[in-house]
Amino acid sequence: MTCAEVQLYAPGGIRGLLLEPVFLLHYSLEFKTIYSEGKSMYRSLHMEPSLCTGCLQCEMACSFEHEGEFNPSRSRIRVFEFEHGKTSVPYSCTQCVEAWCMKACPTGAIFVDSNLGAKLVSASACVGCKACTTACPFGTIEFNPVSGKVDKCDLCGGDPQCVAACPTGAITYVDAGATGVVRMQLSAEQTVQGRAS
Amino acid sequence: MSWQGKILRVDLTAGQVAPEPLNMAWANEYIGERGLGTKYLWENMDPKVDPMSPENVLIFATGPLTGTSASTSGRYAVLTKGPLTGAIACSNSGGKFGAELKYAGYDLLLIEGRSEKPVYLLIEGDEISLVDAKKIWGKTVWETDEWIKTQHHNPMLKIATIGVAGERGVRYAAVVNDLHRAAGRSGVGTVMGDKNLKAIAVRGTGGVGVKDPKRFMQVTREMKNLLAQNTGGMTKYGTNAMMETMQEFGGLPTRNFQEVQFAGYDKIDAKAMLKTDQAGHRNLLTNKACFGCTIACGRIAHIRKDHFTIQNRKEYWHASGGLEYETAFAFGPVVGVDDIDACTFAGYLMNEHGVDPISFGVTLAAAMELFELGIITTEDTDGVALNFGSAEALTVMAEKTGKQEGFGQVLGLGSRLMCEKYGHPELSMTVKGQEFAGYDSRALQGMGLGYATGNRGACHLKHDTFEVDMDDQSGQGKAEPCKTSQDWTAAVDSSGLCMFTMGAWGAPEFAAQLDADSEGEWTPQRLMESGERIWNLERMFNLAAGLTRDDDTLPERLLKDPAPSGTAKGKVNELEKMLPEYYQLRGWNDQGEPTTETLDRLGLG
Repeated sequence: MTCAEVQLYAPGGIRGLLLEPVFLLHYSLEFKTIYSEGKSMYRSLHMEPSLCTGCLQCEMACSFEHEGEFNPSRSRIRVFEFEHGKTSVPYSCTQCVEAWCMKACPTGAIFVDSNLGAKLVSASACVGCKACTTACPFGTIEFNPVSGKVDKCDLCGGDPQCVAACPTGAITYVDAGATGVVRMQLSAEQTVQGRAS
Repeated sequence: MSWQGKILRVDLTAGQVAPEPLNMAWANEYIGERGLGTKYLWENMDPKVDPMSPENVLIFATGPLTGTSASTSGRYAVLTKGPLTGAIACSNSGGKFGAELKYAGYDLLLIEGRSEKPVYLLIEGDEISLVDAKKIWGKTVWETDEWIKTQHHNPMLKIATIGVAGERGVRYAAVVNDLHRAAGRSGVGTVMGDKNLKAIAVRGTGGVGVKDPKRFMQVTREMKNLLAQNTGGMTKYGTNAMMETMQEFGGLPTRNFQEVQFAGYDKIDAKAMLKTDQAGHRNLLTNKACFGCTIACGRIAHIRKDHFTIQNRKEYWHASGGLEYETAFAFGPVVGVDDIDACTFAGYLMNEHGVDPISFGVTLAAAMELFELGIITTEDTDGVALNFGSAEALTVMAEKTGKQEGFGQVLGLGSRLMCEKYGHPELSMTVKGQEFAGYDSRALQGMGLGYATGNRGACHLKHDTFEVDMDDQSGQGKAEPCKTSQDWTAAVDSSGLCMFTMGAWGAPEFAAQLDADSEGEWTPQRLMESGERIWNLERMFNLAAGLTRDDDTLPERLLKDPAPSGTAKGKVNELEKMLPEYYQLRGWNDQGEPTTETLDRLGLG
């Protein structure tokens, strides 16, 4: 793995990786091997906008799982539409390895779920300072005015409800090392279809 | 439970808004949305009032399942006394607006009076205001949507608005939400414009709960799977797959219903939309779901940039809502046009200016026949030759109607008033003043009965006799399926879900979802009874408004001129045979009035 590739996978760069032995172990293997064997400790949501119809079932499933009611405004995954609905894009936390939110938190309220690699928020430790919402470059950790704490995707303990609710397979839960392959596969299929038609 | 228990009463004359508790007794009897809205209308206005007066009431109603994770849960209905028909008008729409209204904490909006100056209603949770709409009066639907979001720095607002057509009194103006979903029919947008209400912008951050969450999640998941397996090809082809079926059957109204088959159908049908042309252009870009929908029958299309309609108009080079069956029918066969880009552009214009495409297309078709007969000439029509088949006439007149310019003002009257104006009422293809949808009553007998007895005038969405009509082309035995499906559709329309699920779900499937959602016991029987109650209350509204059994009829063309081709060649609609049987089944007297026993049975006495 070259330095450039490391940069791609870990925005924090090689220094961050050294602090993360599991990551090194993970990526010292051949990428293909990791994908096919699915042994990576990192799993993540993979979102494929070309399959999204904008139905928002993911938002309802997420808010139901976390709030016990249907409330898209409190969903940790959001779908955005562009050009009169030509494109619908699901968006959520990608569980950065070297998470800005986690680093920025002054009370240590954000921690790593050792089973999933998800970054979780401890409600008892969070003081609602919103430093994490400033630090996160993607906006995927949000302040909840009702609870006074921050909300983010927790991968539902390994059974993401948005994935279960998506009717088109636009959101999948895959080995973190496979996100590129999934898109490549889809793209390859489209390429072949394009050639056939 | 999924009701917020709160409605918002908006008095435009006084400029005041006031929340009130939802009348749960009415919700229990009328389910929600269409039914509940009808009850609120009935209790809050005199059906005799002029639709274009401050005394008319305009209602936006959600259903019990609106905003839940049940599939297709984004529906809401707009109800009022219709300016096109003088009858009850009830139009429903998908998109995201309906669910947003629920999340904002309101089950229903009841709008009364007329504002002195143009305003829009802004609902951001508990903060509600009537805002001066001076800067957006005269703007299109699309401009208004963007302007309000920008003005309030809130891209999450969901907006239902009228275009210029609604402001300037086109009798069939639509309320358009989320840019290209519409409560399209019966002129509900006209009444909104008459009230000087430009738009309703809503942002909701509250939640919607259900009675039995665990059971609800389980049953809705099962229903979603069932629906996914029974979409009838609508995901891939949209509703426009129907065009080929109607063409083959000979039920595709063509050139103002003079014919029932259209040679150019395959240039504008679902398959044509999917085809890549020689220049590499494909009309259809993608499909699109309304809120919560598993099917995603919505079409997102684009127009060829070199097409004559938009080659010098870059503002239309973007994607937007594409052709569905009814729009394809109204811009295609009925006006004889087979240019897919022109049809798509006409659809853009309808959404942009807030016009019902069905009423527009069928009105234009009548104008084309008047032109063909020499009753009107290019002197009347701003120099545009209104020949059947002219893509130019279609698109120019669509824009003129939307903007209320020139001959567009005549087309804006609707087919009935326009044909009367020129002394040829027989050319108007309407029931109670509302134009037909794309199914010919000679080929589809039960459809004809449904049109004739439709409470909002000719409409294909308030009953479903499709299968029995395809199986047997006589008027025999059509009254019962017509009546039953009218009641059933009324129940479906009142649930907050979309009627396009009806192919997958029957009464037990709807009842199971509603029972897990709402207080009380919801059974298939209760749903059917409620549907019948709703249908009869709509009928009572119309009778009180002055409509009679004479309004339950079809144009002579469908009763006397035989279908010239297709499987129903030589047939006319047998309404005379079907109607008495229908009244009897309904428990109405021979004047089409519900008997005392019927009213008592339904709790309407």
